[in-house]
Amino acid sequence: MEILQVIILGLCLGFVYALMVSGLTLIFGVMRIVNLAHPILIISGAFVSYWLFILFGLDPILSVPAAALTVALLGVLLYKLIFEKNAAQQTYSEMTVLLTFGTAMVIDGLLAFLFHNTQRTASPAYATDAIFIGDIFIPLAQLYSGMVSLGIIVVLALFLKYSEFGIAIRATSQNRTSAELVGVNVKFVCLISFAIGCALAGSAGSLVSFVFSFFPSRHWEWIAILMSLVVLGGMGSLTGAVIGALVLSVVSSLVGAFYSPAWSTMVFFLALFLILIIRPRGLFGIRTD
Amino acid sequence: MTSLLSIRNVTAGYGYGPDIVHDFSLSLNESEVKCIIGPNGAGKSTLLKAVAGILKPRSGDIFFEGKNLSGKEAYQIMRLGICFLPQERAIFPNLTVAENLRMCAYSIKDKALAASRIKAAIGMFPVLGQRLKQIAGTMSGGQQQQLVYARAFTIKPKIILIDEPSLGLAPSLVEQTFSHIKQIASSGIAVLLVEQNAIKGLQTSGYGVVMDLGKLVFEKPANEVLQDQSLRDLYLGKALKK
Amino acid sequence: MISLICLPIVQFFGNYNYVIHMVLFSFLYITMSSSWNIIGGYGGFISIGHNVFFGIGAYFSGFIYARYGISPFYTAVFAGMIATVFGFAIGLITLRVKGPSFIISSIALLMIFRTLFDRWELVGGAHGITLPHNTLSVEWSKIPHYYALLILMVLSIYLSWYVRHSKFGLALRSISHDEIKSEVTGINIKIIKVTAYALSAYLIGAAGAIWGDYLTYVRPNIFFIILIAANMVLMCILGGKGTVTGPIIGTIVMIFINEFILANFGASELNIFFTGLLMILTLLYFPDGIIGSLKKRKLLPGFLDWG
Ligand SMILES: Nc1ncnc2c1ncn2[C@@H]1O[C@H](COP(=O)(O)OP(=O)(O)O)[C@@H](O)[C@H]1O
Ligand SMILES: [Mg+2]
Repeated sequence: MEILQVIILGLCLGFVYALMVSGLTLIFGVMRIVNLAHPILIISGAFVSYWLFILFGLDPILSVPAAALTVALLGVLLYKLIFEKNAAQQTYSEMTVLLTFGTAMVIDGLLAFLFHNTQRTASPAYATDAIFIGDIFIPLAQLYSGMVSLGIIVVLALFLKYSEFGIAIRATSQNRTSAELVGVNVKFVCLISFAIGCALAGSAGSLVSFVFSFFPSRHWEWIAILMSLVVLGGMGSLTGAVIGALVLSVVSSLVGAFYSPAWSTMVFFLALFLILIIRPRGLFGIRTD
Repeated sequence: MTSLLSIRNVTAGYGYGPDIVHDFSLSLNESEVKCIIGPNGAGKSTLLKAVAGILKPRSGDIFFEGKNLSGKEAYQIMRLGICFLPQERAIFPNLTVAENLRMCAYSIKDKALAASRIKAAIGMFPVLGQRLKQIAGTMSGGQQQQLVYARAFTIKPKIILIDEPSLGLAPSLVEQTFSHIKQIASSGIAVLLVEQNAIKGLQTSGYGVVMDLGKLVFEKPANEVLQDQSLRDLYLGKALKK
Repeated sequence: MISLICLPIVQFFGNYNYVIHMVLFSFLYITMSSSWNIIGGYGGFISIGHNVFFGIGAYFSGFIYARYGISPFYTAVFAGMIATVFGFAIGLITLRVKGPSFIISSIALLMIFRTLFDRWELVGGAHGITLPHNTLSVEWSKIPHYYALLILMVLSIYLSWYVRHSKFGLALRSISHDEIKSEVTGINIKIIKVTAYALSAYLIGAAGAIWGDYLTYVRPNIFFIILIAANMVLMCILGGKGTVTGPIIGTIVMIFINEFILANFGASELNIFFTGLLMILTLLYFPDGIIGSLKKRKLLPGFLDWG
């Protein structure tokens, strides 16, 4: 029974992780930008929801749109200021990775300056509650955050699969020139994809604000965690990223429960390291180099 | 009378590299078909890329229906009515056939019109209709070729630029491809064709344009080029000695 | 050079510990950025986890000092060797990928080491190892570190210069331009890459040993933080990566900027902000760095042009 409980909790968190990486894969797919600033954008979203909760008592789940919008606007700003020139070329470059690295440091420093590196968690009423199914108990915070994440991911998947613009986004990730030749405004697609990716980071942040404890410099740890998920799934593939997130989250939960919680994050780092080395393409998709 | 497309003194090249196309001028009238031939590396593809806006010309102008295209992005040029089918097969291999067709019609803002055009294209290429859910890259070469040419009938451009349509195709597919091109031409779309297979290319075209080392050598009615023995020896070389 | 050797004389006239500290801090970072430059600048493999070797060196010597009382000044040489061995082993694994994958794997590496040392009770877990102070009086306590780091710095610059002008360096730079073409020309890419990586680990490891003694403690959250690697990268890029003098100039400029920020804004959180900002601005407007840009415009004074 206990093992089932751990797996269910792992899956709930897995969907949150999947939401955290969905924006990362989208941005990578369209622009080939490995956005190391993604985790700090998630933390920015967490701060939005956290403060809305502290100041106005607004439930973090209800502030998902606010966090998404705020971070999307921040993303547009960053894109215009920093990435526009390189993004449209759709080539992997060390320089762009370092640019995102610098961006991550800038936001990290700013947030740490404003709010300090103290651990925070928003604590809505349900945060300490749980439901019981037989003798399995599921904390509501995990359950809700997992469900909301799943909902957002489904909406994203439907948008990419069926909407005209969604198909254009996928076409652009496949081949920028071909997309231009059927009349897609690739630069616009890049901008919007970047904004959507950041909005996804922001919405993930809202959920993170009450599921995890967060502080600005925690994003360094999350960089490696998120990278392990996308790399397992094959960079740029949304399905792959979701599967990667679920698998690693469950494994990490199992390690945490049956070996030692202290080693549960090690699962991500080792997985990342091993996959990059053994199979640079990831288990599903596009090459990363 | 101003022509539909007029390339005036265009010079183009890549990055910091040398000029590949030098001071090249050419014009194309409505419903006209011209075929550019010339040795490998002459700069034919580069010229087409410059017209399509994928490569910005270093100097010179390109006019389309009297409008100067300089400074326009490739997608804007496409939306004006210049469709470019590059040398690499111009489909999205990881999208389904249906999604590919939707992308073909992406530039058509009137969605009802887009749907009816797609339907018409499927009518012309029934195979595509049967495989709407298939991933395009997994279709046979001939079927993929149909998908490529379905685009011309979906967007009904004013000009279509086709780069080496027969390159790397099996002989039966070459026949099929040229029949698609003739079909496009007979529907009143002007065609600017680049072709290694000079006989086929010229037979399909009204005019033959010979290009070498980035420069225009001459332009003559296609049948004259085909018949003139000295031209054949001089410029068409091996391509015609079959 | 001579003035650097003689600088500690100022201590006879008063307590200039701050000056000594800043200068030896520069030595440390010049050592690290020059070493990083070998694999990152010449080889084109951007590692943002290179301080694992710094930490490995520090832990090795620190552990021996704490347990057997042998000062890191004697064991630094071996700390470098241990770092090199690790560099070789890690390089064999990670250098198989390049571009963004390599960058990510270098972050993963850092996180793995950080997690390991955080949990490893033998070396004190998250609290690390505390080392005894040396017995010198306050004015003179920094002097041994000063000379040790000065030596390491000179060695690192010499190594960087040597690699830049050797056949080995030429092969390395050709790999950074085009791996496939280099393979065709018969260079044994793997050996070259891994050797460069291991070589760049040596002095960083030795410097880690000295730095641990200087701080008198070795702790995961001091040695295995990404900011150290970020500094190495930024100093190289700012000065001009792939040049011999670039990392030196970049380091000096960065340390001045850092001091300026600390003096004016104090808070260390803003330090990371400005480091990031400087990195972005450099990459966007100044990608060749100070030395690289001057060289391109043929404005580089001869005494700075070491290749
Ligand atoms: N993307 C490119 N970048 C740089 N040079 C190119 C590129 N494409 C083609 N070239 C160069 O341009 C020249 C002409 O190429 P191209 O226009 O493709 O000739 P053609 O189509 O007539 O065979 C060749 O010498 C080729 O090396
Ligand atoms: Mg060509």
